[in-house]
Order: sequence, then C-alpha cells, then structure tokens
Amino acid sequence: MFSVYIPFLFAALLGRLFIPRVLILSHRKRLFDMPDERKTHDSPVPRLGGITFLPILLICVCLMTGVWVDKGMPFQILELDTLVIRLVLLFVGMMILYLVGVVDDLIGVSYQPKFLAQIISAIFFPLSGLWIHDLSGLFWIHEIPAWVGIPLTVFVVVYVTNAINLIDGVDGLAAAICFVAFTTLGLAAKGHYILMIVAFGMLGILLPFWSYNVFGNIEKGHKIFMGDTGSLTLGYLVSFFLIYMASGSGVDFPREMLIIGLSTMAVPMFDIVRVVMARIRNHRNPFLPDKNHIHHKLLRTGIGPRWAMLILILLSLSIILVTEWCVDLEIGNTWIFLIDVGIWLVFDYTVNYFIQQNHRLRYE
Amino acid sequence: MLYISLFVPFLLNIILTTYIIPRILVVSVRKDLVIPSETMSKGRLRVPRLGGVSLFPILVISVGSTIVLLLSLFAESFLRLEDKISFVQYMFGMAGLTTMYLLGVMDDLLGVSITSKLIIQTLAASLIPMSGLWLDDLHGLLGIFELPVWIGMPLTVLMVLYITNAIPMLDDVDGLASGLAMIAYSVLGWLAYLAGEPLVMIVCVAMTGMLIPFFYRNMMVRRIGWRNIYLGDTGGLTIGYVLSFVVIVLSRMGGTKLPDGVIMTCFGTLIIPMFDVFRVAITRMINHRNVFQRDNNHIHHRLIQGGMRPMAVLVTILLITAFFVVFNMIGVWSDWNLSLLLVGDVIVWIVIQVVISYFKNKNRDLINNG
Repeated sequence: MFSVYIPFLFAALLGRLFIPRVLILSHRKRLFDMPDERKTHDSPVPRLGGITFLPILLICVCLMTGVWVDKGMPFQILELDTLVIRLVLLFVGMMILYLVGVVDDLIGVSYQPKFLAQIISAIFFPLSGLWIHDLSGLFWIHEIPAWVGIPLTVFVVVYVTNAINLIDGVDGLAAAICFVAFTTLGLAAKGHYILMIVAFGMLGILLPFWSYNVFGNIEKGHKIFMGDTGSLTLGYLVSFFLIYMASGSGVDFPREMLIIGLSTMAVPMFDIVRVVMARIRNHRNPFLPDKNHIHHKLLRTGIGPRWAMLILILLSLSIILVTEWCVDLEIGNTWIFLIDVGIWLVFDYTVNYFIQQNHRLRYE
Repeated sequence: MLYISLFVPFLLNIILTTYIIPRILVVSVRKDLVIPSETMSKGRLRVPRLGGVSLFPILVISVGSTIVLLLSLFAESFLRLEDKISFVQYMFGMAGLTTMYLLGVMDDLLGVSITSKLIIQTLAASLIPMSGLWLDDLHGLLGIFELPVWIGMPLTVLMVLYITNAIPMLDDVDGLASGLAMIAYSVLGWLAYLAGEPLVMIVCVAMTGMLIPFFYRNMMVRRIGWRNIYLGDTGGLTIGYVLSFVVIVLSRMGGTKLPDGVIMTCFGTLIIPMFDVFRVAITRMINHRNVFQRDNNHIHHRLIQGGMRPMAVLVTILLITAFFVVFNMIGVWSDWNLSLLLVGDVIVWIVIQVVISYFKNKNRDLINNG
C-alpha cells in the first residue's frame, strides 16, 4: 500500500502548501483571468492553479520511485530502462505542454501553436513504444498494423487532452472528472507500482486544488482555476494512462482495458463530438470557443454550477460502472461502446428537454 | 554516441533558449513582473529577473530527449541505468531540483523570507546525501582522507547550500553568473568525459548550451538595444543545485576513474564565488551586521568601485576563474599535495584581494580629491 497512500498524502500535503502561495502570487501580481463572455464567472479569479500540478507530480514521483528502487521493492513491470524511457518521455511531453500552457494562461496563445505542441508531445508515446496495437474487439477489429495504430494513438492523445481542456468551464468539473478517471485507472493498474504512484500522486494534488476551486471564496481571494496549464497536463497524463494500459492489454492488463479507459473519459469525449458537429453544421470554425458545451447546456436548464458539476460526475461514474459491469458480463466491446453512447444520448435529450422547459417558463 | 550526447543537447538548448527568452520578456513586461533590482541598475531600464524560469523546463526537455535518444539507439552500451544506485541518485536529484525551482520562482515573484528559504533549501540539499551521494573521501585535503557518514553527510548538505547560495550573488553584473557557470560546466563536462560518465556530461553540456543565449543577450544589450534579462534567483538556484550535484558526483570518482584528488579541480571551478561569499560573510560578521542582508561588498562591486566598467569586471573575473581552473588542474594532474594546492589558491586569492583594495582606495582618493 506504499504506492497508494504515501504518494497521495505527500502530494496532497505539497499541494496544500503550494496552492495558497500561488493564490497570493497571482493576487499580488494581478495575474487574473479577465472575465469574458464564455466563462461562467464574473469577478477576477486567478487561473494559475495548473502550474502546481507538474512540479508537485515531478517531486512526488521522483522521490517515491527513488525510495522504491532504493528499498529494493519488486519491479514487476519491465526492465528499468524501458520504464525510464517511458517516464522520461512522459515528463518531457508534459513539460512542453506546461510551457505552452503557462504562456497561454498569462498572455494567450492562438490555437495553432497549442495544437502543434499537443501533436509533438503526443508523438512521444509511439516513440517510446506505447501505441494502440489492438482494439480488442471494438468495432469487431482486433490487431491493427502500426501505420494505423500510431496515428490513431496520436489522435487519441490530442483528443483526450483537448477534451479535458474544453470541459474545464464549471468550477471543479475537469478536476473531478479526472479524479474519477485517475481513481479508476489507478485501481486498474494494480501491481504496476510506478503507474500507481503516478496516478495516486496526481489524485493527491487534485484534492486540495479541487477544494480551493469549488469552495474557495471569491471575495476573500481563495478561488483558483486550473487554467490551460492544468487542463493540458492533466489531459496528457490521463491519455498516458489510457495508451499505456491499452497497449499492454492482453499482456500486462486485462483485454478490456481500452474500453474501460475510454469510458472514464466518455463524458468530455462524446461532448466534443457533439459540439464540433454542431459548429460544422452552423458553418463555424470548429476550433473557436463558444457556449455550447455540456456544462453550458446544463446551466441553461436553470440549475447552479455546483449541481451541474455533480450531475456530470454522476453521469461519468455511472458510465464507468455500467462499462465495468458489461465487461464482467462479456458482451463484447462494441456493444459496451454502443451502450455508453446510448446512455450519453439519453442524458443529452433529457437536458434538451429541460432546457426547453426552462425557456418556456421564462417566456411565460 | 559521443557526438550525439555532445551536440544534441547543446544545439537543442541553444535553439530552445533563444526561442523562449523573448517570450519570457513579453510575458514579464506585459504582466508587469519586472522587479527592480535592489543593488545595481540605478536609473536604468528595469530589467526582468525571470530568465532563470526557463532553465529547469529546458533542462528537463533536452536531457530527457537526449537520454531517450541514446537509450533507444545504444541500449546496451549506454548509461549504466540498470545500475540501481545511480537511478536513485538521479531521481532524488530531480526531486530536489524541482523543489529549488519552485522556491526560486516564488522568491523571484513574491520574495521568500530567509528562514523558510533556508529550510526548504536544506530539505532539497539533504536529498543528495540521502540518495547515497556524499563526500566520503577528501583525498588528503587538509590531511583528511576517509570521512565517516555522520561528518560526510552534513558536510555535503553544507556544500550544496553553500554553492547554491553563492551563485545568485553573481547576478548583478551582466553575464557574470552565466559566464562563470559556463566555464564551470564546460570544465566539469570535460571531467565527466574523462571519467566516462555520459549522463553527467549530457547535463553539463546542456547547461552550457542553455546559458549561451543568456550570455550573448547580456553582452549584446548595449550594442543592439535588446532588452536585458537577468537569471534571477530561480536561475541561480537551478544552476547552483545542478552544479553541486555534478561536483559531488565527480568528486566521488577521484582515485577510481579520475586522478586522485580531482575534488580540488571540481571545487576549483567555483573558487571565486565560494571564497567571495566566505569573505563577505566574515566582513559582515565583524561589522555586526546581518549575514544574509544584501550589500555592495562582493568582488564585482569592489572591482566597480575600483574604477572598472562592468564589461572589464566581467572579463577580469572570468580570467581569474580560468586561471584558478588551470592552476588546480595542473596541480591535481601532477600529483601535488592537495593541502598545498589549497594554500596556493588562498594565497593567490589574497593577493588579488589586496590588489583590488589598493585600486579601490586609490580610486576613492581620486574621487574625494577632485
């Protein structure tokens, strides 16, 4: 249990120490997010919370791995140098996204360089030998060749990273969805101690951040957002886990790891598809922001932001649970995927119904 | 393999740093993160001190990608990373470096009180001996050979703290910190090459590469009209921590892979900041002032008071450093007694101080008289 509790508590402690400092810093130096029409808040709130994630994770993972190896604990996964390649490339990619994110949070970056950075850091996964080489029955496809699998991997990484980035619009939503995802993935990584250290270390950071994000008082200046730095690094880390487990499925992990991993990210991923389709239908640029994401829609039904967050988390949890249940029943990955889409569609239509009711109420 | 580990980090870092520096400048000017320096720069344009923020991320990116490249090309011959102990050492060093980086950023932007600064630095510094890297042998320096654990470990922590805090002092003259660190890193990188330690060499080459654009920019400010940038505390702490890590790794190899007593060559690259901090601290103690309070008594301040222009100060100090490096190297390689070598260093240092004091007094008299 060394790899679960200690990284978790250590990272939580570091986050608890460091986030207030970032708050003071951004207030004193006026590093605010100026309210614009897309965001759902209206007084200045610092959005530098994300800059704490990478350094704390780095400290935590390095220390824990060091102690782990030093104490001669069992290394079940791989030989050390394959592991080193993967961990190092993970942190190199995260660092690139971190730099882009910090600049974006401070002065703003247009979407082309951001995209470029995401693609470059996504290519690191196939380089270190991590790519989806087996869909394990999703759409009745099993083994796939490298020239399909590698672009697919890059696509999934960029997709997940952006999905987290775009869902980050209501207090605590992105952090909480990642929290659920990391818990699932960390528990699924049973026996792979390094992965567990990374997952639970990240959970530990998210906990203090989440409480500041949701319960922080704006007037007292205790509220903080994760900003693009946070969402990019979080999304990259989540996709690292997805790809790692999917590429080891059938060998190191159960065969259904791909679908379980994807189900943890189902809410933001399905939402992006819907939003992009809506934008294309309206002949607008699919990369420019608007107010059509699922959390915006939930707010339009007339409920408060905390309830919106809670509902989406319950949705995410239920999709994960249904997926795991279906995996136990062994009904095939394609059907599980379709069931997930079904749950999503039902939810979406329910939200649409409530929006219409809310509008009608307002007009009458 | 040698060429890759030399040129990839070097060129990558020059490119990355050249790309990032203007962005840091834009951010710090637009967000008004420019802090006035307390000691120098009277009436000049305020200089952003955030240059050092870029060092740590670039180091991670470049060293990481070089390691991965080498591991995937020369898996069997490269890096004895299956060697568990060095893996632990690098992991701990990385954690300490991240801590230093966070501390430095906070210090540059907000200012951290000296107590908490020292506590955090001690924590980060004690990670190095905890991973098994401590000075276990002085090789006859001052007549001491083997050191027991309970002396060696605190000594290592002290050394790390000392070096880490000595580097930010130099940041007041354009290009001094980066120039001195570049000399130190090139010498240490060469030693690492002699010792056959590719990883240490990559780190040294990477640090040299990323300091070149800073040095160049600092040199070219007046001529082209670029905006100047200082390394700040973040830079000083990062440089100092990596430097002390490398110095300790290499010192431990004295007698096995490197000549006996290479410890003097390693510390010889840092003689100027180390001796100077020592002298300044003693002067402050004699004058009953706070040891940690900044003042204008460092070697570069004294040289400026002696009537030199900043550029001349830079050249002088770099030349003195080069002299010390060569002197110690000759001494170690021709097997002199280390204690005598240390005495020689101290004597040269004192002579230099006397000369500086002479010119300083002369200059003061000149100003006072007319």
